[in-house]
Amino acid sequence: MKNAASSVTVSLLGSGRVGQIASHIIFVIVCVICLYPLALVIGISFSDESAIAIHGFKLLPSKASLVAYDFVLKQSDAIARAYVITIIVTGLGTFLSTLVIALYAYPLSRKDFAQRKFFSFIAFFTMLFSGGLVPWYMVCVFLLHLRNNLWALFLPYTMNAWYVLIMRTFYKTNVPDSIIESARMDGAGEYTIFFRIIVSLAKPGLATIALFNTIVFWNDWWLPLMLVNDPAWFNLQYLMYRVQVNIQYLSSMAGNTNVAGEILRRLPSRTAQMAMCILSIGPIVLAYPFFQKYFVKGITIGSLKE
Amino acid sequence: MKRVIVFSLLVVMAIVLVSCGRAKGEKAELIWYFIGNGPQKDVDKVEAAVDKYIQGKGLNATVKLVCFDWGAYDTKMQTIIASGEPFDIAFTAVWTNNYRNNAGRGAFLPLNDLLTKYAPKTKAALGADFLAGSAIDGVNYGIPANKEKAHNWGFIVRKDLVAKYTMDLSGVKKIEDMEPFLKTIKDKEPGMYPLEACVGESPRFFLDFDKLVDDDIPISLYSDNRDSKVVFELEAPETMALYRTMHKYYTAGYVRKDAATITDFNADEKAGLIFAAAKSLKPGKDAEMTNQTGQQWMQIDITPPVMSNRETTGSMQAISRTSKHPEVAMQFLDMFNTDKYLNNLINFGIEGSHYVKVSDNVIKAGPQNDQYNPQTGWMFGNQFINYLWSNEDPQKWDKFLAYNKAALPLKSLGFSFDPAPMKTQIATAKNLWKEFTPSLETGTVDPDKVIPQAIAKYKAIGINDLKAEVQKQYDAWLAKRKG
Repeated sequence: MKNAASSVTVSLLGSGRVGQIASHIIFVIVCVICLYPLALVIGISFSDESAIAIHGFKLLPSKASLVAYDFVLKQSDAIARAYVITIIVTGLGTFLSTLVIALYAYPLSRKDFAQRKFFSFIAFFTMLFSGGLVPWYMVCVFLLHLRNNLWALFLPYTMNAWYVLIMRTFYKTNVPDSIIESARMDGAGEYTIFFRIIVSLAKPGLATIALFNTIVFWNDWWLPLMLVNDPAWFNLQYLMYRVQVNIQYLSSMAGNTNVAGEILRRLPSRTAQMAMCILSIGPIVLAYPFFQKYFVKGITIGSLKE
Repeated sequence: MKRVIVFSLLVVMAIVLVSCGRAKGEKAELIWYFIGNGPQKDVDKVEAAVDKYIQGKGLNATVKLVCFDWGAYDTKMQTIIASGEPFDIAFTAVWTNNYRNNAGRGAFLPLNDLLTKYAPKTKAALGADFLAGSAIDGVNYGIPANKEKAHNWGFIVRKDLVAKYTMDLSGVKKIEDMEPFLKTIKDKEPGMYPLEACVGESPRFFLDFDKLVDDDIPISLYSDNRDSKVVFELEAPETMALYRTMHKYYTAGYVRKDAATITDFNADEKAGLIFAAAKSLKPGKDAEMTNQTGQQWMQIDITPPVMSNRETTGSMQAISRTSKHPEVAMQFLDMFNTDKYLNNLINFGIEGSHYVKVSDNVIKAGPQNDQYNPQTGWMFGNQFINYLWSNEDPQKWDKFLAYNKAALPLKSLGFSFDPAPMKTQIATAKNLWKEFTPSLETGTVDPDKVIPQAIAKYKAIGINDLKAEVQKQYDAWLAKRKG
């Protein structure tokens, strides 16, 4: 990606001295814009609460304090458990979802599959029409019993019609019919063909779907909100969502009841919220450099037309 | 053919056996959904104690206490109710899991007969007035919690600063009387905001209109039972007078300059920057606030105590249409509302572990207090039989009783407006409220200029039609009551 962006700027600004300096400046500005909010969050999390109320959010805390982290770490067992849950759910969910989508899309790409129009239509139809929240809830809870268990946190997102169509197109354009024919002539069955040949050919597409899924599962708070009430199954995002939504809700109805103001006073402050944020993304940010080379390889594979 | 007959015989037998298997004396499992600070760690221990106690008293049931967070409760309950999921008891109010909407949809069971048959003690304790206030067309769909039955508005003021500048606040009867004291604070304490006013939390409360449609619709009655004439608030002289005072205070610098954009009033309070704030009061509010904020507060009552629809529908328990054992649920609720041991068990936890007794009626936090600490006494049935924390006023409940007795019950108790014919007007009126009220209630704009503009805009969207419809429904409801 960096190559693409820098080649664009080179073509716009020319590759002379001035053009180079200009493109450097542009990139520095973009970096600052991306990093400033993160630095602000870190700064706030180390600030004293009353300093925030008086001076507002500042990059360098006017009065440093570790109170926020102290407060959040008191619930460290809840956060640790939420971490484990999030990692397991993301891993399991991505694996299952990618598998299901890869398996569903493959027959749709094969011209000798008689019912492929029908199954494509079923998938496509769900993209246009949906039953709505209540039927979804009824299916999840009454039919599938997805309540307060691990399946509830990833099963509803396993199938995604849009990704199916992406994969179907990918198979069509990247898998030559001749390969399948020759494999069949050598005596391979359908599953052998799929898992030995097709999957390797479709790696870039599968990697993309897996990446999308990972992001969805990591960031999801909707499934815990609707299907889970037992704190043992809360994930990271839902922990943070709870705090934020509670504060918002109580602030909005404070004038109505005698109660809301009292409860609000006891909820985590701004600094504690920021500390929670940092603790949640910290390990990912720290782990990212180790995984970076795999990401880059995967993305550049996609750009090569082999 | 023979196989088919044998097979269907087996199936029938299986069905019969299964249904006979459910013996008559089976325990009813009651599921109770309520709002709060989220599931407490020790809730299973408390549930076990509750089950043991109620079975000991002859009620063959077990209870599951399921608590949803503040922000999530409404969403979750709407989904649960819409999907027809079976449950027994749910917390409901006008401000969450909306009582009137759900009753209208038939989500809750009518409770009048159940109350008479299975909860006579609760019914007597609440009183006919209070129950009438939450009835819809004479039918009760929820049991209100027995707590403060009225509201009044007033100031809470920093006691330490009052002592520091030897202020004599005994003559303060209305907002204008506070002016010299606000000025003292402005001059002598430069970092502070003398008067708190921000979006939704401001001295606008002192107008104390009895809202008939919704909190952000300015169609109301006066809160003193003077007549049954519905008023458009912005046209009332009291409104103009109050906003003029607020504007005077704003220009004098008693209110923060960006007040009209502030929605979080807590930050300033926590930071100790507020001298005086307009709040909803009840006996002991100052002590409560002192406990929670760590600053010293005192309260000054401005408006008299009034029993309105808001109090009667502020905290109720309803029984779901999908409940399998409504009679058992009602019996449990009656026990909960009147039995001191059971009520305090659910409110505070297990003695010795979550709380310890200091004296007969006073408690303080026990060693495992953080494992079970719902802090939602106002929701749980009957505050008058609750224990008091050691840092609370020992006469809190007596003062509450006196407060309730002194309250003026409004004639509009029990009236609920049907918004169906006026949906568009209500929606646009809500937008206008968001547009005009923050700047008016914080004093940011000059009311002599802005109120006429606002009135014109409201008239343009049909506020007079809304007012006429409300008056029509209210008069019809009054006539039906008398007849």
